[in-house]
Amino acid sequence: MVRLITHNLLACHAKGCTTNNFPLAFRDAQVEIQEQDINPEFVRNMLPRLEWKALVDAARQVGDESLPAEQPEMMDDELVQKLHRVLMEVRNLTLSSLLASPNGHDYPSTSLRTRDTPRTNTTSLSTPCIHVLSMHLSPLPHPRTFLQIHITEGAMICPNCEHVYPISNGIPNMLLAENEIG
Amino acid sequence: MVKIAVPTSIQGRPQEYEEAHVHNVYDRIADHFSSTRYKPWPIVAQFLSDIPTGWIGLDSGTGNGKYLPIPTERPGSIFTIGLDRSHNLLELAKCAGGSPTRDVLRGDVLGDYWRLGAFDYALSIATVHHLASPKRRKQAIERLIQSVSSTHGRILIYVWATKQDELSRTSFPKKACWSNEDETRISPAGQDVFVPWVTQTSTDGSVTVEPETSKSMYMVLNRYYHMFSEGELSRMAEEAAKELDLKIGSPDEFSERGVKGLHISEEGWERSNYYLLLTRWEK
Ligand SMILES: [Zn+2]
Repeated sequence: MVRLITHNLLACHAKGCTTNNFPLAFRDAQVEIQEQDINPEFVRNMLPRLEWKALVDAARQVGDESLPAEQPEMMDDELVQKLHRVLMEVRNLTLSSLLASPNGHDYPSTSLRTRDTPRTNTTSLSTPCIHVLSMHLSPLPHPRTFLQIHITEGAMICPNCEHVYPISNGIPNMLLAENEIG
Repeated sequence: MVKIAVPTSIQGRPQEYEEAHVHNVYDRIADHFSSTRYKPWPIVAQFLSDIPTGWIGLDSGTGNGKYLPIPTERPGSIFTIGLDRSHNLLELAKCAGGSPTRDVLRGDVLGDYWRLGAFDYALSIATVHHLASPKRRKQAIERLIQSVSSTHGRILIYVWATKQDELSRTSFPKKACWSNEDETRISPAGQDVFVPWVTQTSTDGSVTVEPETSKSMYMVLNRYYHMFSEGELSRMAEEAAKELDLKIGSPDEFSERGVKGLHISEEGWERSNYYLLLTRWEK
């Protein structure tokens, strides 16, 4: 699976692609939310590592508008909660095309799905790690933090060279063909 | 269970050699491999336990992702992203430690997919030894160095050693013996070997592995390793640092402002493996 925290670190380095190669844009992203216990200390300490604007834009691309456009100077509890949701959980959406709403404000109709996952870390490997519950909710039930949002399908597009990195079954494929390696 | 290593030499292009003797093998043996690889190496567990809360890291060559949930005593305190080439291993890595799922990406350990210095730490456990040329092994180390912060990034590299644990399950054919008593025969450049995995395809199509059998109904999959000789890994890390214009040594040894460096904070051997702990610094 891939969360927005991971997306925030990714940059395209295909052959000749050295500038304007971050952040990758989501296309046809399908998203799921997995509940996760909040660790406020993690969120506070981790935040300086992220690019705020890229995070806000990516969150909007996957249907979460909870974050302010400018990074607040003070990290209050409410912001920590929001960030946790955006980074660690996500309520789902299927965005038919993000290109249709480049600024992330016009949301296409969404179908929502919630993943009901045990909150413990003790699930053994032999059991399926996720139990998917389907449920239909109105778009954007409530904001989710970026640690809870998992992008499961779709693609990430380099804003510069337009290389397409597909995401399938929660796993982005970053492999480049030999002639694309810079 | 005895692991056997047979000396080999690289034929053809290293990339294709790795495709045949590393990537394809792991994709085929993923399930069984995973069931034998669940215990974290103590050095690796310690490295991750020492990482401060809020740090973000890369596990390059994550395999079944067994290090992604660590430290389990502080769940959610650090965030490790798994990178691997094997799709089947990534499917397992995704679920490592149960829910919530782990973040994993399909990619090459020589690939560059990140903002420069994006991570606070990086680990490469039992991975660099699968690259089939010295140049590629050095490049893998360069990638690790580039992936972490220039001011505080920490790196742990763990590779298979020519110096084998007496209690280890690995045995070597007489002809190419390089046991502990026989270290003079170890080349300073290490040793390329195959470690055969014998597999049996059952009726449901799944592959099971029975390392000690050699009946004709079993198929042998040769996995390529480069066994590192003593000091080889640290020499390679120093070369990688030079390529990246980094000073080698502790930050106390340099006073000039703006200097960037790499410190080999620890070098050691644990149960048939050499490991290296590197720290980046900037004045
Ligand atoms: Zn690009």
